[in-house]
Amino acid sequence: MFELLVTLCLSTVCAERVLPAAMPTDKAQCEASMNARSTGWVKAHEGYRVKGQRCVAIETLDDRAAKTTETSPGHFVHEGLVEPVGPKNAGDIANTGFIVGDKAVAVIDAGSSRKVAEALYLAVRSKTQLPIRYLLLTHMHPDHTLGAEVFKEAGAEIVGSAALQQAMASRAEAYTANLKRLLGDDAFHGTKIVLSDRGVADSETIDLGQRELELRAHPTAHTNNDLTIYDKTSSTVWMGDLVFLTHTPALDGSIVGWIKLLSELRKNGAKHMVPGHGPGRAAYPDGAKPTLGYLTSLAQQTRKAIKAGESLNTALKHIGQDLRGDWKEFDEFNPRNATSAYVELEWE
Amino acid sequence: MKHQLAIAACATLLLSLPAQAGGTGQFVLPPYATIQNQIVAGEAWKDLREMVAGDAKLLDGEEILSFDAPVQAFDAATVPFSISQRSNSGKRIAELTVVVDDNPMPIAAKFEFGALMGDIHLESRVRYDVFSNIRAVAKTASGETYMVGRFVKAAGGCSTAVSRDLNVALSTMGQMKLKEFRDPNAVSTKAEGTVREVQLMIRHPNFTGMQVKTGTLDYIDPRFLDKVVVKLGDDVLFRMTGGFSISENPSFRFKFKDNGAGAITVYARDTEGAEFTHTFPLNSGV
Ligand SMILES: [Zn+2]
Repeated sequence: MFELLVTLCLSTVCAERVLPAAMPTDKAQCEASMNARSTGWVKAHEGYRVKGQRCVAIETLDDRAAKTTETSPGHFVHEGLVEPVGPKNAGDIANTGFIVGDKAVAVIDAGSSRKVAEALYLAVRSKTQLPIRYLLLTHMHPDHTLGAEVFKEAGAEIVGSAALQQAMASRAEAYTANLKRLLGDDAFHGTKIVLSDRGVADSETIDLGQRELELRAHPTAHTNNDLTIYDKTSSTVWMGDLVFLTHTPALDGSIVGWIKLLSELRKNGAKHMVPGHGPGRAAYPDGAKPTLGYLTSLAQQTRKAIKAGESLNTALKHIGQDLRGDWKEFDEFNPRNATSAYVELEWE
Repeated sequence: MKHQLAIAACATLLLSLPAQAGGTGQFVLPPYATIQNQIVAGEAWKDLREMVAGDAKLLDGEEILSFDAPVQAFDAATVPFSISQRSNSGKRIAELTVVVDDNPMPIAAKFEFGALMGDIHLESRVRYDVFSNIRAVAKTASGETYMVGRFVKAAGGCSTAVSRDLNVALSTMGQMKLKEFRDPNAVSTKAEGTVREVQLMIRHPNFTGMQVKTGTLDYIDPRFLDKVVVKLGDDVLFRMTGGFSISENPSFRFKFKDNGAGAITVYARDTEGAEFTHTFPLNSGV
């Protein structure tokens, strides 16, 4: 099968992008459709122009494909790096992956940029020609969502929590501007935020062909739009950022809600989980323990400071400081978490 | 217009801090010589100065106030600041304007203080769009104008404008809470003139108008608390005229001299005309 590569320029910044088709194409189909596809893309992306295009065999694109591990048959995980978003990593910092059924594929999360999402798309296409029917977004954060358009072009329906669409719409400009600044023009090239097509209000089962995925939306925890995905076949739950390993947890929802959720993780028969950051596989439910431990201590210390009458400014200087342990990016995230926890818990 | 402003501002470069004021042991250093985040010169203030202080001479506020704001704020939606009047200043501050120079709506709040506020002790929180100075401009009852400021590096950039949970924010709008702080060593007293400390918290999303409605590209209109009046019995403690640079769920922690009235009444109004009133009986000294 063949993929279409188009050199696209925005001002003076040019890069060769992968433009997926809704169905895999052979060489003749790729070449017959390439003009329409590249012109269509440029029409939808203001400022870009086509500089060149070619159809190449998927086998030759191995070095552009994301590295994935098949942790269970048909269940692939790509481990993001545990480091800040930057031009070098193009924002490849979140765990992503895909699940292959008899009839279709579901991709989970899309990375921070088009570049990262294209790599994941090529990883899918190097394993299977089945249609990519779904892109499942675990929550709104840009390191999990900004590459989504690649999968929309590949024909996927974008599904998230029912609260996802509004949450992303209201942050779209800010996320775009922020990531553009952090990634730089090269790594951000071609990235355009798209919103989810449909939301899950409570739970829903989707079928990939002899493979059911149970989607579950949760009350406000890491964010107000967290979604978990349970693949019964591999006995694995995709936790999104409800579970962090290695990378310091980031609180952008409700500390009370998050603690409650992790304390009550359902015994649903799952054995494994995929955390949002850190190692791509952990035990279910024990993999949540470090996150739960951090949040519980953070909440305790915050409540204590509030009870002692400490103002936010005073409390921020010490809350959670002794919880550093082996967490990475601690100095960036802990004070922010402490702020979030304080302004939530001061209302108790 | 303000949307473009906010977004353009996101691309701000890291500003370097000026060298710290130096000094040797021979002279007594002014109290602010060790402040890590002195105000920096900037374009925005040139226009704001007239709006905030007219042509008044700006005296060095460090002489009568201590002003605390973080060197770096990790949550740009919630940047705490506190203003504390030095006890020996001999001034009565009648008005105080808080300005975040480079925000889309720079004047965060203007406070008019009643006499019962005594020496001003006030803490609140502001939103930050970009790295910026925050300054307090104080007018005394005798007509002098003092200014004090800090430079804050806000790391959150622009992802600051939105409620964590919009629906919750709307359904709880107008709820209030008043916390009393008691010095555990102080003798319990009802005596008039006793200095007390409280924190007033008001639930309100203080919409910036940068949020987008679901499924459209239309903006939600800004909606924020533009007026708050806090009274102790019949005496006004302060009136605030505010903008959306005050953080979501506005919080004001302050000290006042008790007049024995026994209750604080708060009136708040937002830009849509919604009014919220609560009366809180005081327990301190009982
Ligand atoms: Zn996240």
